[in-house]
Amino acid sequence: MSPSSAGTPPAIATRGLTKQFDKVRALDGVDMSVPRGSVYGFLGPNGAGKTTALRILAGLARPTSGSAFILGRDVVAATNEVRSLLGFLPDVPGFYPWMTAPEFLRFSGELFGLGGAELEDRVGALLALSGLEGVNNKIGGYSRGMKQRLGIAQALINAPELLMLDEPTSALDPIGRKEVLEMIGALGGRTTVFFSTHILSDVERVCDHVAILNKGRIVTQASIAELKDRRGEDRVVLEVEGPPGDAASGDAAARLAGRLEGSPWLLNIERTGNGRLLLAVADLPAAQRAIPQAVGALELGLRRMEIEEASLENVFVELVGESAL
Amino acid sequence: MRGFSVFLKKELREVLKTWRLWVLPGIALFLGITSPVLAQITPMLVEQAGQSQPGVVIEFPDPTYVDAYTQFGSQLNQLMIIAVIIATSGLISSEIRRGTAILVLTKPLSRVAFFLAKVASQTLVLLAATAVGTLAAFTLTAILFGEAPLLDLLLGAGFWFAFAWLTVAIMALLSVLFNSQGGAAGVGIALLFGVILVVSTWSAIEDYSPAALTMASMNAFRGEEYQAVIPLLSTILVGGLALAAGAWALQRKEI
Repeated sequence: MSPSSAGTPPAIATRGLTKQFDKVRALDGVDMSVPRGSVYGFLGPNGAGKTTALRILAGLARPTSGSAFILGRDVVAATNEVRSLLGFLPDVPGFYPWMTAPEFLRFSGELFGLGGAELEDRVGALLALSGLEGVNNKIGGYSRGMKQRLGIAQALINAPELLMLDEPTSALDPIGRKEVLEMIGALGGRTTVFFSTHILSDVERVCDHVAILNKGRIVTQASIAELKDRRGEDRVVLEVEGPPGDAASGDAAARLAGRLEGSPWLLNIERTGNGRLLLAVADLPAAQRAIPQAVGALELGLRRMEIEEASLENVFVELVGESAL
Repeated sequence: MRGFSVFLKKELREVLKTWRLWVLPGIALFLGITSPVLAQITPMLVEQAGQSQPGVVIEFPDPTYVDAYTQFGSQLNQLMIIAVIIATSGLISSEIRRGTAILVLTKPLSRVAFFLAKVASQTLVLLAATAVGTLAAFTLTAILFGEAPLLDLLLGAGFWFAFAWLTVAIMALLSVLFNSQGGAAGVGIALLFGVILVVSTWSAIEDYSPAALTMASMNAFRGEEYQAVIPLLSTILVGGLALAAGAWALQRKEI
């Protein structure tokens, strides 16, 4: 039984997925739903349980309890059927070093029952996509970035409905990261991409949905835009000073805070140091209009007004904690 | 068994393109060449050593092809079996350790097909090694001794091959159970000596166990009578059980 609600099941669905290793609970009742066609970031600090979840979804490990479905198929019961729909790249892909990239892609395609002109066409297209066209060296001599791009290419050989990538950028240099993210971004809309990472900027750059995992539990899951709207209020950093000749900047900040208290656009106000305030605001345009007026009305000097727009980082820190960054 | 033929083809290409081609066939070739030579020169060396001691006279009958075959059989049963154990101790675990197993087992390749293709390729390597060593032993024996009965040699090598195949099957199981290649090799060697010890001290099973194939092999090399039917059947049975257990254990294993 697939957990579909309206006919078409989601790309990935888990219900109470739990994995226990001796005394460590790596996954603790994970409920998750990944919409088809999305580029879905599976975000969490190191050790959160991301790789364990991916290994269960790929059929490499078994859940202690709960269930997991890929495109409506149970990952434990329908193993070969699931694999034929799936492309998977582990965090550290292992290749046969004596093969070349075209040889490995052909071998991968043959495991899916592909052959002839169809296989050759796909191999050619994926070599071009991964920037490995014309590279005839053995894989043993490839850089980490080349292996990662080949890893994504081999995961696409069967034109999968779902591509799962485990930390595809974590060990790459900035150029390698950029190349791999561009490959992932180019797949958006064609196939569902589910990738785990602990790098917030990667998620912001290519994903349209995200789930945040911490200590084996999903702490939130939503579209990126929804998540920012829901949890990531904008912030304004202010630094003010009193009138010329008045050295008491702290008083100036207190007077301004008192003036702004109760404003409908203000969520929270915090004094962070001598003359400095940190405002959490619900309506940024209203705050941008009201703050200079309040400063002028109190005849204060405005030394600094800096806007920090809502970011995934704010959300992540709020949900997982500073220590995870 | 989905993916068996594709993965077996990959395994055989790997044998041809990597060091795996040279290890077991290389050792077998070395043993096939050196065994007749050693059989030829050992009596001369011992006689010469005896001459250096005053009053000591050591006389050996002239060596024959039987000595060459016996030497070859002894080397197969000792050195070559240990080489087989070491060479196959990482048959499955090395693929898991290198991460290559993850990439292939997340495609429609069943774990049973993966396991059996690895065993099949190693069996073919073993067959090639046995053939190379036997051909070398036959050729050198014929050259050095002027006589080399082919049937005795083929039967002796054939019985040894059956025992060595059983070793491959057991090592395949151990390489699933043990993540460490060294651990699997250590247990494999301990098992080999343990079985030899038990069989040699427990006469009730001496003639029926797979270990009796080593005795049948030596008897065939010497052109003597041998009892091989029951040991061959028990070898197939124990080997089949080891393969079934290995495939089952790999199905259950988390990678």
